[in-house]
This record gives sequence, C-alpha cells and structure tokens, in this order.
Amino acid sequence: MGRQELTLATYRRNLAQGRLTGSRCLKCGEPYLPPRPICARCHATRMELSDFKGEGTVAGFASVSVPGPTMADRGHGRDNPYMTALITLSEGPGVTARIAAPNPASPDGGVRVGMPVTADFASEGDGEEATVTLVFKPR
Amino acid sequence: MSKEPVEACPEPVEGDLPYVNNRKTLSGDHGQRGVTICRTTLRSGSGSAMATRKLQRGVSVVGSAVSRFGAFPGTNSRDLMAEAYVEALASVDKGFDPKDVEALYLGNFTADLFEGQSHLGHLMADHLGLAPRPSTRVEGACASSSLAFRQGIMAIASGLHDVVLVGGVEKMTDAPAAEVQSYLAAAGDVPIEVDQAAFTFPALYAAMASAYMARYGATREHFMHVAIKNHENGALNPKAHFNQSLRQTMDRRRQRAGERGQPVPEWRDEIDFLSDEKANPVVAWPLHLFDCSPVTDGASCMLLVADEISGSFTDSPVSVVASSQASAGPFGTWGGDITSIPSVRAAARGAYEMAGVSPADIDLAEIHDCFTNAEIMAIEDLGFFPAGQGAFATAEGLTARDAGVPVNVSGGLKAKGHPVGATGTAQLHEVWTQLRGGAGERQVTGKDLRLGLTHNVGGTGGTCAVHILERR
Repeated sequence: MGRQELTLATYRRNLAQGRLTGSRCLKCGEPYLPPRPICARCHATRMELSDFKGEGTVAGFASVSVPGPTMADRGHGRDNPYMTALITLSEGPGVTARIAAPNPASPDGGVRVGMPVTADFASEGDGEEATVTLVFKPR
Repeated sequence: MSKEPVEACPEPVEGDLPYVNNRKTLSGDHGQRGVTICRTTLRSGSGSAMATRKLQRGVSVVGSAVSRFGAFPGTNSRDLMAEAYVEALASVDKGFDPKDVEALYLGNFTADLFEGQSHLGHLMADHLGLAPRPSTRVEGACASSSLAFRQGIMAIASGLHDVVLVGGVEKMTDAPAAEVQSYLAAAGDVPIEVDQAAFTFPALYAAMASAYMARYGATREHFMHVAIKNHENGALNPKAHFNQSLRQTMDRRRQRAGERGQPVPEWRDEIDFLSDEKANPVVAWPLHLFDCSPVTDGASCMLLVADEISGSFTDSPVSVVASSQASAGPFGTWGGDITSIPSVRAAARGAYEMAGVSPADIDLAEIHDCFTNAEIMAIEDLGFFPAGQGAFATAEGLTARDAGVPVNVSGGLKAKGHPVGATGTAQLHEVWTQLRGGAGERQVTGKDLRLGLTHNVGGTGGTCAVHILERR
C-alpha cells in the first residue's frame, strides 16, 4: 500500500500527525475530504492528495446527552454531554467532527451556526491506547 | 399560506452529464415507446442529474397489511412477517391464492445486528410457504422496504413476473439500548460521522435541526407541533406503537403520580409538557425524547400485480403512478446546507415528473418523520411548502388530518412506530388504505382522495424513495 493512496487510511495516518488531508481533482480542481479517487463533479479519475487548512464555520451541531457505547465509556452522558458538528471548511467541503463547547453550561454549549472554528488535534488516552482526535475549537 | 408547486421538469442543459447523453444514444426508441427523459438537477448545483422514465407496464396494489407495531419481547422477525402476510392475503377483495405469488422482495435494515441473522430472504420465503420462489432481501437502512416495493414494481413492469409479494420487517426491541444506538448509527458514514465525529443517529438530525432553527428562526416549539399532531393521529390507529395522544399521555402520567402519592405535575398543555425537561429529557440538543420516533418491532407487506390482471383480485385497485429513488453522500458533500436533503429533492422531482403531477395534486402524504424536524424539512423538500415555511405551516395546523395536505394520518413513524425495515411498505399501506376509504376512525374525509404520496428516507438522506399511488 503506497503512502500516496487516495484512501481513508491515508487520511487517518495524516490526521495522527496533525494534518487534514483530502484530495483535489486534477481536471476540474474540485476538492474532497477525506481523499477519494473519482471526481463527483466531472467524473475524472485523476486526483492528487491535498492538505486542508483546518479552518471553517459551523453549519450545524448537536450536544449529545445520550451517547453511543464508545463515548459512554469515556464518561459522557446526561451529566456530561459532548458536542459534535458539521464544519464547512474554507476550501469548500464539509467535515463532521467533535467541537469544543465555548459554554458547556448552556444547553447548546454556546455554539452558534456560522461560528468560525479551527481544527485542533487532541491526544486522547495513554500509551499504546493513545489516539489523535480531530476537535474543532472557536477561532 | 398556499402550496407552491416545485419547479417543473427543467429543459435539458447543454454540457450535459455523459451518462444522460449515453442513455439517449443507447436506446433510440424513446419516442415510439412514449418514454420521457427529464434531466433533474439538484439544488446544490453539484451537477448531479437523473433520468426519469415511465413504467412500461402498469402495476397495481391489490392487497396490503401491517402487523401490530410495538415491543414484543421474544418474537422473531419471521413471526412479525407471518402476521402481516396472513392479513395481507385476507385483504384481497376477491380472494387470493398464495400459489400465485411468483417472487418475494423483503426490506430489512439489519437483522444481522439486531438478531444475529443474515440471509433473511430465503428464511422468510420458507416461513411464508413460498419456497422455492425467488426471495431477495433489499437493504437501504430505514428506506429498505420502499426499495423492496420498487424492486417488485420493476419485476412486474419488466414482464418477468405478474404477481409479487413485497414488504419489510425489523425486530429491534430485544437488543440492549446502547447497542441499538450503534446499530442505528451504522446507517450513517461510520469512519467519519460515527468514529471521528461521535455522531449518534439522533445527533445527526439534531445538527439539521440546529441549522434549520438558525436559518429560519424556528424554535423547538415548532418541532413539538409535529409530535402533537402525529400522536393525535396515532391515537386513532389501533396498530400504532403509541396508540394515544400526548394529552392522554399527560393525563395518565398525572394519574400515576397521584396513585403513587408523588407530586402531580401541572402541565398547562402539550407544549408545557414537552417543555418540561423531566417529562421530555434532551437526547441530542435541540432534539428531546418526544422529538424521536421509537424503537419498534413490526412488519408490513403488499401484494403487487400487473394492472391488466388486477380485475381478478379487486374492483378497487390502487395503481403505482410514480416510483422514484435518489442517493446522496454524507453531510460533508451537501454544499454546506443541511436544512434540506438533496436526495429528497431529487427523488421528489423524479416522482412528480413520472406521475405528471405537481405537489398541489397530492391528497395526502405519509412522511418519514423519524424525528420531528425531519417531517418539517420533508414537507418543504417535497414542495408542499416553500423552504423555511414548513415549521410555521405545521404550527398553524396546515398538515392536520382535516387540512389541505394531511401528513402522517397513520401517526407517522413518531407515533405508529419505526421498525425501520418495515416502515416504507407500512407508509404505502396507509396510503392504500386511505385511498380505498378503509381507514376507519382516522379516514380522511371531506375530500375525494385520489393521489397519495410516500416519502421514505434511509439514514440522513443517503437514500430516499418517493412513491405516488392513485386510486383507479
């Protein structure tokens, strides 16, 4: 498996190093995140990997009080909700990721649609269990 | 507020997508066969397009049924399906010989996860006594049985079969609640939406709700009106999971509190009840418990036949005049706007074009209200109301059972229940029943029902199927 493949594996590997990697169509220039091999706009099959700046605005969000098993294991729940969002990146595509609440006491976490945010790459867990998580924070 | 027709089929655009041109080149006999090709372009401007055609052979629904919807511990999906099938056989006006069934298309989201059972098609054929007839399981998350219905239509329209059984089933309630969350979330994009962003399924719709509220000035109270209306309708549906209005729910809770010697809550009305965080706790802000459809066990099925033989089964057939399906990627591909679902707009446009009707012609609609805000977005994307007006129209009662466009007279997913694989044909069952005047207490009266529409969404709009049925 080559390092330059237009795959989720490339996206994940680069994310672990603090990079947000997508792809760009070599024919029409359309950007995608995560990387993909085929352009949905012009159907071309030639793409190159492309780094995103990690800046964008909130398009929609939720404060989750009833988590799935993974976030429940990390201590989230009714008394400790977490926030997640769709971010429209300045390059165009959207990305769904967690977002840090500016005001955790408020039901909406103080997040606003249209709010400018920037990507942060937070380390979670210890030792071999450690993972890098993409969390956006207010810009 | 008046219904505003969606834009009619637009003229073909130069610089067309290659596959549309290819289709025109590949089969040059469209004129002779009376086939119309319509290029419909998504509002997102991403250049997507679909070609719409007419069925080459008409298809009628001559029998239909749903099982009871609810929580039935210890049952298996085949028990639910058999219940629906036996009732569907009995629903055929002039009688039906099961030997006439030639094939089965079964919608199911994930018995694999809920019951640990894959390969459901053949088991169901055997259990219904239909083996060795071909049986095909069809999966499109919560739209699975609308896709099964569509497969049945295509099988008959192609001439391959004359009589087909279609339906769907989901047995959900025996799985642990936390597991159900992750099974349902698997209808989203797992690597990004679920693993990276930790979206639960309600959270995905909550994100759409937050965007809608910010863009159009709607509030949680607008969403509450969907729940109030659909539970009122569900109270008249004996098969509904929640066969009571929210008023009745409030009264029962007050009575129970009194019996237990607890303080009796003093809710002024349904809005006051739904605004009480204790009675209606948050799930994923802004969505609360009563914004969500329930986890339900249930099955539904329909008997489809070629139009030309429908007279052998009934003098009141209901014809399929549109079957339309569209796809979309995850949120990140929607062009930054999640107040409206691209696949719904595309499927709706395809359906109206195929039927040759406009939204104003639709007499009633069964809408995919998996969450209250989903119904509001849908009545806009289907063209019943302009963008941004759905919330206000609902609060004004314009989608009530006695209004211009009655929406979810069955109780919808919200009150009737949402056994995900069974939901599509359960929606179609309600339209079939209403068009034939057989809905009893909840029958829509005061107008001549001719055209009914169903709108069934898989995931957050990854899949959408829109069907239009007509009473002949």
